Amino acid sequence: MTGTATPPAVKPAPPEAEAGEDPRLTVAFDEGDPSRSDLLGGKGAGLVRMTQAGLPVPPGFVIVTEACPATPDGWAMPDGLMAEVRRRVEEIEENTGRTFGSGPSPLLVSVRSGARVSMPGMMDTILNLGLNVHTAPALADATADLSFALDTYSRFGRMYGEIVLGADGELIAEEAERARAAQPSGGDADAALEAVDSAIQDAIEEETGERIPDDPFRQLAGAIEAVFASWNSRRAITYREVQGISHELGTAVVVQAMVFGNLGSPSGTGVAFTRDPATGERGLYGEFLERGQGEDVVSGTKTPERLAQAAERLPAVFDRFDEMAASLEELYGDMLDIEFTVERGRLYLLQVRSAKRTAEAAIRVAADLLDEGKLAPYETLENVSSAQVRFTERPRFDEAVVRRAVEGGSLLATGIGASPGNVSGKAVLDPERAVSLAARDGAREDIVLLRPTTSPEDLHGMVPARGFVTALGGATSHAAVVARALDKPCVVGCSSLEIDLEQRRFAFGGRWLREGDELSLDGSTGQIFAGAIPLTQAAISGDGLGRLLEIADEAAGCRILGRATTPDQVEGALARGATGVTARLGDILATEGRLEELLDRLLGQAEAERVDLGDFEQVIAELAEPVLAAADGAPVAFRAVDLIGDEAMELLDAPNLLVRNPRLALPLGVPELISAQIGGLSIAAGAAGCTIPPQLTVRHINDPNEAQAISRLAEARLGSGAAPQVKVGVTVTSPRGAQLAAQILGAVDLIWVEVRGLQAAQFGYPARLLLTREPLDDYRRRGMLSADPRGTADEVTGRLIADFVAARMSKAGREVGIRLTGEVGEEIAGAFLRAGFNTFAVDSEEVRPARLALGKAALAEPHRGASE
Amino acid sequence: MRAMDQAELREDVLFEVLKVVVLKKMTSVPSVAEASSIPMGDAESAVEELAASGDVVSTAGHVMPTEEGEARVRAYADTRYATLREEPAVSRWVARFESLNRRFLETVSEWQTIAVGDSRVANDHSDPDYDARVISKLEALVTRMSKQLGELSDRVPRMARYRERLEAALERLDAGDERYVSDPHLDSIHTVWFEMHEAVLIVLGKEREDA
Repeated sequence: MTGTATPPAVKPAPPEAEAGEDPRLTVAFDEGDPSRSDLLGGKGAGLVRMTQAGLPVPPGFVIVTEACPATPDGWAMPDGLMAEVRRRVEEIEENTGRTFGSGPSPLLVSVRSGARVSMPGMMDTILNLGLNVHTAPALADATADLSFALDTYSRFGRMYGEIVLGADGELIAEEAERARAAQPSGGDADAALEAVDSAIQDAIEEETGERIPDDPFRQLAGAIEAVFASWNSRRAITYREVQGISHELGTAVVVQAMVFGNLGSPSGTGVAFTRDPATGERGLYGEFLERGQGEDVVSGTKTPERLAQAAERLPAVFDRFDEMAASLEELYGDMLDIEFTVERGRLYLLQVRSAKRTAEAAIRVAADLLDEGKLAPYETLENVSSAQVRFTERPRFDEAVVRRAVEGGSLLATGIGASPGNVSGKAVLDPERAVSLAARDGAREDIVLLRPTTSPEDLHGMVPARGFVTALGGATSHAAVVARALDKPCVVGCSSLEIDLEQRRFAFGGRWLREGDELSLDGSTGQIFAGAIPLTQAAISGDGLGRLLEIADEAAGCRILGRATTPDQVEGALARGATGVTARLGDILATEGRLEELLDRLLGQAEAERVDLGDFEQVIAELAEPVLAAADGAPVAFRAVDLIGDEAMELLDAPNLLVRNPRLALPLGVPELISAQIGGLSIAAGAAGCTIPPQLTVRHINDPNEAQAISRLAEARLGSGAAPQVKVGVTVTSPRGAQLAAQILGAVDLIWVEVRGLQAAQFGYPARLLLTREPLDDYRRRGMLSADPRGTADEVTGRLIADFVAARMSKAGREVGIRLTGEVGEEIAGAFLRAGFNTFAVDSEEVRPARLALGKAALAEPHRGASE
Repeated sequence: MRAMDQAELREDVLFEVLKVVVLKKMTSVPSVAEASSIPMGDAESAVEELAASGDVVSTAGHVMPTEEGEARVRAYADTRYATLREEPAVSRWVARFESLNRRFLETVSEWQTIAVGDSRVANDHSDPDYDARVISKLEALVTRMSKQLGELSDRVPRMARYRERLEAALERLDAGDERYVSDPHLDSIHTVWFEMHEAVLIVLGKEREDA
């Protein structure tokens, strides 16, 4: 999902502020240049753009970033700023017919900070500024609603007290509430407001020694100063230093007239999504609260009605809402979340943002927006992230089995789903047992930890468990927080759970089970089942993703191979849209239990000049054929057996192996091994009727002489005909191999580059280290490395990649493929695509994310070029 | 408020060590020292003293609580903090603590998940505006809790240690390491807060009401 939506730039406004005019520190929404977010900040530029696009936005102005004093020590308000602010407020008064600081119709404003880049420590929004003991009663009269005036006043006191004066807002609110409750119902409005006012002021004074000023302009000056102070706060300064953002940028301040959802009738306030954020289904979705102010909907203090109901009831108000939502979507090119207020039948937009949505909705919305002509193809892809595509592929319970489980009475309880995901495992009742079971013989048991509540000492047991259930607690309990941090399914608040530690048993609603029994839990729905439920690959609903990925494929024009070992996995990779597959012969042998016999032969002939591999060629032929058959004509790239790679190290007793037969450490140490694989594949290719010859590459090649030797082995085994049945090549994992790529490509026409292995070798790190975020992220944060070993930004890596490009380009028919391991980042995929590569191998689950990433990279470039 | 005298301080160390042993079920002197941040030597002599009084069993490097020891932790806190619990200022402190705790857990949840209409999805951290707002809220709450702990640390000196740890976690977060919000493998803000919550419950003789 992208962050804040940016509507395409409206026609630039004419240049303002002629030479010789007063320095202008403020810009009204209707006169600024929306492309100047450097001057107006993100929020300010958005409001200027919306106003100038003719959208109903309450009037206001922006104090530009240049007015922000950017010296942390001893800064002061810029000269003349408040005089300008006064003139701007007068403009708003004329525009709205209200007056700032007096009745009968008082003008209230909101004040918010708005830097170009968001950062923590910046001032939050202050609403209802301009209220005091004079204007609050006027507001009560104007709205004929004392309770509303009291709410509004408390809210203002709380925000101003907390944000400008540094008191605890919650305490202020409590004091205000207490004072209010002490007032007789139907009593005098002025007395009630005064009581609430002094409660608020006293609470603030007790904590900070200050009071909210009565003069609204002094309130406003205080709020503006607070924004500047927040820019110069220790937190914001630290953040900018860490992120490398200049302190000189400064923040803008946005001052805007408040509108009231409870002033007269029909009035109200609401939030609308232009589509359903859970499913992406077309049609407005949201809530409306008649006679309510914005905060009421957000804070959930009052129950709003569904937007569709409100629209039926108040057709005049919502008459053109649909149309407006549609044109807004067109303007922003995304699904939106619109905060709005209706004041006496007049609609105002308070905020329009790119809507948050589920992964499913993101995919559907992007595809639909394309259909509706609201998005260009490149924009469509930008609206979906690789993470969202990955999320849709998370394995989940087989729905049919879940249905049967419910019907068959296996549903034990339904608690509160606190951390999503599906998992089955053995029930364990205490953390010590979870730890010891998980550690036993390295054979990982799948464990579900059941606890009445969770204490910090349970943490060590939560780490090895696959999922958790607690009897108490809600969605914001410690257990839920820990489960989400670990990304493990969790059900809390399961009140029917009883645990009997003495007897090592537990019950849901009186139905007793023993520790060690299988349970399945769904961390979204909160359902807990007896017994294990199998996980399946989620069926991708709708054809939205398929269509988006077709766009991506067309744009990128890449060949993407997915990794597979078994025929099932081959089908899985192809179903995800892979052009073909890659398979490691070593993995196939291990899976089929044929690796041991090969090792025995190799170790038994450690000293032999010619190694007799027996029927090994036939074994390869037998095992490769089903893989080729499953590929059904799609290209298959095999990697020769590698006994020293880090995957093999884990499988075999590698150090011992190399002591007994050191030749196995060299790629061509036993040439017979390569010949047999070439021979086996050619037999398999013939049997499977392959039209595209399978590839076989040998790993860890560093030298052109090795490549030539491989070429000769192939010729010897296959003959030197024009169309050999197996295409042989090399896999490069070392910087040396990369540097000599041009010469190596003189001997063979095919190179695969293992990016992770190459980068690990370059940095001298174990390859495994490059698969995880930590500890490298932390190491980089400490400033230890100027480039990320997992990216391509490193200068040395960049030069090596350039070597490959040059080598490939130097002669037609040469093929260089890029092998990526683990999650395929959008940045790295884009970098290789831009460098000129078009053949990639990825893990099977990463086929779809890689297609998206490459498509995005391909579409982003020409677009960017064209618009500049 | 009256500060503690030497004998009480020593007793407090004993209690802290016993508490760690009871909570961890099976542990060792070095882990006790680490979890309680009591110097190794002091932790070692505390364990010896507790073994002599029959509250823990210490053999071959393992320290385990006895049933008496378990019962004593709560009983100990009950007597140790009996007067504290009765003070009117404390009930106000507890109310503030609970309010901060509730808001803290909500804010960490907002960091982890984002509301999408009626449900919530994992925060993919693609909206810097949202993240900045949540971090600001979190920082304000930690600052308030630090102040809150400061008020109690005169009476319960060990509370000052949580304050230090919270501030250390906050510093890591400020330096850009966002794992320090809630990663349970680290001394993140949530990890420290969670332990502090437990410690406060024991001091006040309250049962955990949520999970």
